[in-house]
Order: sequence, then C-alpha cells, then structure tokens
Amino acid sequence: MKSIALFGLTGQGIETAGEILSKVIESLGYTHRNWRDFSTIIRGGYTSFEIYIADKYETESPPRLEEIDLAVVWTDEGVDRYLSRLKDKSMIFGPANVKSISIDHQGNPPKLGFNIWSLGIICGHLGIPYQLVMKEVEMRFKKGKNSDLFESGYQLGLTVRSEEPLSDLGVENATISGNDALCLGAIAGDVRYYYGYPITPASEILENLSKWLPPLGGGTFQVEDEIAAIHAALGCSYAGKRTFVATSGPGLALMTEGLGYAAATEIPLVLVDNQRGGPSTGMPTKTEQSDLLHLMNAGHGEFARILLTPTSVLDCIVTIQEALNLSEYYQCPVIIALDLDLALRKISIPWERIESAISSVEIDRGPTFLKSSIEGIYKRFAAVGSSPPIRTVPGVKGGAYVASGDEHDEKGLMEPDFKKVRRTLHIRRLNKANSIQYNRPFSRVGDEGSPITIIGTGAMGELIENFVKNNPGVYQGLLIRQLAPLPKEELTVALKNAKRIVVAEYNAKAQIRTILESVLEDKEVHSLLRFDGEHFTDKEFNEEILAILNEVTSNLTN
Amino acid sequence: MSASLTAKDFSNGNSPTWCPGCGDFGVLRGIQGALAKLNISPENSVLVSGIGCSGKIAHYFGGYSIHTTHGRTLPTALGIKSSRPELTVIAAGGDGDGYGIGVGHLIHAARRNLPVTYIVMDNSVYGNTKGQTSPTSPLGYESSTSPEGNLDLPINPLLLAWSSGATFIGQGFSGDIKQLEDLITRGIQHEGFSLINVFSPCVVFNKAQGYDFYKEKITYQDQPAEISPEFVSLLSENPFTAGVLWQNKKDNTRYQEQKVVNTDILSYLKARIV
Repeated sequence: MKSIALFGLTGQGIETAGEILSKVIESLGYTHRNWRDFSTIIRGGYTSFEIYIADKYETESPPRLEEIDLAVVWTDEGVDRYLSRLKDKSMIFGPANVKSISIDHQGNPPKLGFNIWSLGIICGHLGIPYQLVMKEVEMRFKKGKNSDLFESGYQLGLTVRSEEPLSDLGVENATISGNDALCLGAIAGDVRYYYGYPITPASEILENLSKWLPPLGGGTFQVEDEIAAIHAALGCSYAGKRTFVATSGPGLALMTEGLGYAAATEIPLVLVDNQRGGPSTGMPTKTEQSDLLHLMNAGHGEFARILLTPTSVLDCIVTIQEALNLSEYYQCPVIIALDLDLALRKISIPWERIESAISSVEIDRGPTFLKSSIEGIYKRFAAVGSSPPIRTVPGVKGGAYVASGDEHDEKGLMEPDFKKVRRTLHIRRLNKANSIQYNRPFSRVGDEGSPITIIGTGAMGELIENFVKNNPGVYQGLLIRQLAPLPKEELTVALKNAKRIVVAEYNAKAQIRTILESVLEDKEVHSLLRFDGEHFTDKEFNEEILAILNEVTSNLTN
Repeated sequence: MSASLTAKDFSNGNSPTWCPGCGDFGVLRGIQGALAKLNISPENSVLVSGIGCSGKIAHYFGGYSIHTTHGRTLPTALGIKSSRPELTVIAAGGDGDGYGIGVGHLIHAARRNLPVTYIVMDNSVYGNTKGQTSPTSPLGYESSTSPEGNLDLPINPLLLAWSSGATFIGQGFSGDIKQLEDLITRGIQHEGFSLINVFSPCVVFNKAQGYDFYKEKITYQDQPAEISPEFVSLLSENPFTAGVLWQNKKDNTRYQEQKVVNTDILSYLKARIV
C-alpha cells in the first residue's frame, strides 16, 4: 500500500491537485481511496488531501491509513500534522521557509501553483509517466508557467522515486463517492426527478443529478428550502414517479413535518440523511453518526418507518435501490442514514464491482396500479389481507382518492369515526413494517464463531473490515445495514457465540448501542465513541479497539 | 374523452362540512364547472389543498386530490406537475395557508412559472381555528389575537406575485360563480403559473367582510392590464378589482412531457463516471 498527503490552505487548489492525481492513478487501474479534510469553516483555513493506493489489482479500496509515505506541505502546521505519521521522517517536502524540511526537499513554489509543484513531486515519486500527468494538468490549467512548476516538482520527486513505481495494470477503474453511488443507484432504481436544496454534505447529489437526469428525459429543481423539497418529492411520488430527498441535520429538521405526512398518507418516500456534526449548524464539514435516535423517532405521533444504514460506498448503490422498492411496497418512509465521511469519501475500484452493485436489485413497484382502470368501489387505505393497501396514481380511471394528513377512513376521507379507524386503519398503518422482508440486515466479516464482535456501520465499516481481516479467528465484524425495524432474530443468532462486543460509533451517546440494546443483553458490551468530527485512521481504530479490550494481539501488523 | 362531462363528475359524493353560507362552496363549484367545461377527465386532474377550512375542498373533489400540510400546496403541486406534465393540477388554499405560512412558496412558484392554477380562498381571517387575525386582515381588525386592533399592514398578494414574475393574475368572488368559473377556466388554460385570489367570505368569524361588503366594493375589469403602471394603478385604485388583471407569456419548456429515452441505463451510468 502506498500513501501520500498534500497539505495547504483552502483556495490553493489542494483538492484539484488531488483530483488530478486520483484521475491519473485511476487510469492506471490502481484501486485507491481518497480522503479530504475540510476546515470547519467552509471557506478559509487549512485543508489536506490524502490518497491510499493498493499495490496491485484489488477489488476493495483501502481504509484511511495512518502511515504516510510522502507528504508535501505548505506551512509549519502541515509539518505538525504529518511528521509523526511519516514512515520515513525525511519524506516531507515544502517551501524553503517551512521547518523540519531538509534543504534538498525544499523548493520555491508560488502560493498559487504550490498544488501543481506538489503534484509533480508526488508523480515523480510514484514513477507515473510525465506525459500522462501533463495531459491532465493541461486539460485544467493554461500551459506555460504550470508546466515549469510541474517539471521542477517532478524532478524533485524523482530523487525519491519509489522502488515499486506504478505501472499500467490494464484494469478499468472508476472513482465514486458515497453521494455518487446514491445517484447511480437512484437512477438504476428509476428515479428521474429530484428536488433539492444545497447543504453540506448532500449538495453533490443535487449537482450530480442536475447533470445526469436531463439526458434521460427527467430533471432536477433547486427549490427554496427543504420544506419545499420534501413536499415536491411527496407530490412526485403521489403522482406515481420515483424520487427521493437528501439532506443533512438542519434540513432534516425542516423535513420532519413532511416525514410524518408521508407516513399518515402512506405515500412512498425515501429520505437520505448525510449526518454531520450537530447540534444546530454544528460542524458542517465534519463527520458524525448522531442523528440515529432522532431518525428512529422523528415526527410527531406514532408511525411505521424503515431505517437503513449503508456500510460502504458500494453499499450505497444497493441500499437506495432496495429503499425505493421497500418504500413502494410498505408505503412508509424509508430513511437512509449516511455520515459525512461515507458521503464524501472517494474510492476508485474496478468498474465491474460498480456494475454488479447497480445490477443487483430489480425494480419492484409494489402493489401499485400505474395504468388501466379499477372497477367497483376503490378503497385506497384498505388492507389486502395482511398486505399493504393497493395504491393508484393519477390517470388511473376509477382510482381517484384523496391523500390526507388528517386522520381518514379507508377511502381517505377526513372526519371519520375516529374510534373505528384508530382501532383498524391506524393500527394497520402503525404495524405494517414491524418485520420487513429484507435480505441482508447486516454484513458479516470474519469468522462466525469468533468470541469478540465489533459492531458498527457507515464510515466505520471500512475500519472494522480491515481490523477483522488482519486478525483472523479472533474477531467477527457485524456491519449493520438495517436499524428499524430492528432485525432482532438475525442479530441474536449472529451474536450467539459473542462473549465480548464493541459497538463503534461516531457520537457521544452510544446511539447504535442504545438501538441494539435488546440484542446485547447478557453480553460484555463496550462502546468506542468518537465525536470530534474526525474519521479514524486504521491505526487509531485498531489501537482504540485493543485498548478497550485491554489485550495485546501479537499478530497485529501495526 | 367523453364530451358530456358535468360539474357533478367532479364530485366524489362526500357532503361538505363547511358552515352554511361559506364562500368555499362557490370555489368548489367554480373548479368543478371549469374542469367540466374544459372537458378534462377527473382521473387526469389533481387538486392539491392546504390546511384550514379551505383545505377540506380536496375531500369533496371527484378527481385525484391531495390534502397537504399547512402552506405546502405549491411545492406539492411542483412535484406532481413537473413529473406528470400531462395532468391538470390545481392548488387551492386559504389566505393563512398561502399568504402566511406558505407565502415563500408563492414567490418561487411564480418565478418558476409553474403551470399550476393556484386558487386562494381569501376571507381575511383564520376561520378553522375560530377567528384569529390573518395576513390579509385589514389594519385595525379586532380579533382574539389582535384585541386592540391589527397593527400589521395586510399583505398585497397580487402585487407580490406580479413582482415575482407571475404570468397570470386574476381576482374573483365566491358570490359570483359565473365570473369565477370563467376566471378559473382561463387560469387552467393559461400556459404557466396562474394566481387567482378569490374573496370567499367567512360568515361566522369575519362578519364585517361578508357577501354584501364585497358586492359593494368589487368592480369588474374586462381586459388585463397591458403595461405595468396600469396593473399597479388598477389595484391601487381598487384592491377589490375582479377579472383577469394581468397575463403574459414566458418560456415554459421545462414542464413539457418527458421524452421517452431508450438508453441502456448501465452504459449510460458508466459513461457518467468512467
């Protein structure tokens, strides 16, 4: 595994350099993972880009790595951040005025141009052919000065050329983020319209779909607020077209009335919450998994809901397709909870993996009459045996009904006999998703009989997977994909042999552990909690887990 | 499509529970009459309503209808109309719903030229919650929430919509169903956003603004204003001017029917990211 870091100020084009680097490495067919750091202020302050590259053909992207092979930094703060993480302390480069950098690793790049100079160093070190990178650079920047900056960096990088330089693996790779993955899955799931309001870290979804939907005959609307977004989505869904909404904490708060409305009217709705540090505006650019208890209960009154939590970028492609199907079958809100790190992390993996995730779910519109007509008296909200009611959409003759947030009878009419409908319709609507048909409520990594279980989801997935794989036989990992309804039976079986359990999550109040409480009884349970907005590196995570379990495992590599 | 649709085809048989004399009866009849006249089939028409007495209109309509949350008729209508442009979509609510809690959406629906007919049943009072001051209550209006008289200037919805780019602005009266039906018909025919403000008396909680009040104040305008100053002066001279007061054309292509695109989705998605 190779790992590189680039550190500078926001506005210096650090991310652009990172994107070029990732693009070039993608074209060589190397599986990799990018990591972006943001200042807590969306503009202003420091930023950094890290990239972790597999050594050969790999189908899984690496987790966030602690150890760095080479760092290029703009200021002393970069030295403070990266010197301790360098495998070889001399492998740090930067301008002449920066501390702790040896003279032969210094240069004089201008403030705007530091990114291209750095890119040169990194590419020289990795042994990426000069022309390959220049082609990308010239596509984004003017010729001339940039070529000179890149050239001088590249020559510097060649002085520390890797012993195993990158070559062309001949693999077709693609680079996607969790947000990209959601968009791919949504389009595969027949979403053609999208209504959104910009918010970090969900804006990418609106941006992507604004480019990707029009050629398919659909489109997006940037609406005036999240209240409008969720109601427009409800209108679209009522009209029989598939859509979803995506937001983050503050937007979720505004959408909450609409969430309850969807439940009351049994209009299918998929809501994505890209969780960020809260409460309030909180830490808009930092990761957290702190909305989960809210999502389990959000909305006034009582109603059924399904809460899904993707465990990786690829899983986002699958989960949103499953969510669209579930929402139309059960006709209740289906919520997908991501966290910022998973939403924004970019991984580059073989296209065939993405292709198989896209193709893994068939579209199922549930008990919905999309065409033709209905004979006899139609009752929109009448249960069909123990199954959800039959839904019609405008255009279906004989299927007209009123969808109302006011409590209603089986035809949808308000001012019903409350005593009657609360015992019948309301109870049906309340309990319809108590146990759902969902194939994979969690993913297991490691051996089933292992005595120690690590539980987590979202951004934590890659770390648990990495940890368990490096410690075979001792641990199993359960990556949770479904929190509501709680897959109690399946989890109980999976935890049968587990004596000791660590639940790892990005919040201060152990929310996942709280939700799982009923399956954790009689076990020795520990919490690994982090809530400073940062995503663990592999080493940090491994050390934290071991410290909690208070044991040293000799076969750990780091 | 049947050529013999009548207003009755747009009733679902459910009896309205509005108070006797409520202006909203007239609005319901106006909508039903207009749709029948235009020969739009009930299954292809959608009525979107908000919260308040006026919101109950969705429960008496014979086509598809959706009774949304307070103030959110226009975003809901956006979702329906943009994804199913072949449907006729009418939004209807009260002055509290549309000019109070939901007024932000009015501006955006107007600037988007959303092809929806938005009918506001304006009675200058919160009737459903038993008579509080509304955004169109006049200065000095006495109610349980302004016992010393309303201190806030009433909103001017028509000028607000006009300054936001609305392409059709009309005003009607529940007491004149013939004119109202004609107004709604023209609103539905208009290719773009139409706002129709309807004086719809609340005979229980706003007795001061009953049928006689409006009959006395209303003047009729035959033709829409041709230039901006004319529109502004029409409303300054008499805020109770009825008729189509403003109409123009603006690009509307984004709401055209979805082209069927025969693309292999997998190859399409691949081309987006590889």
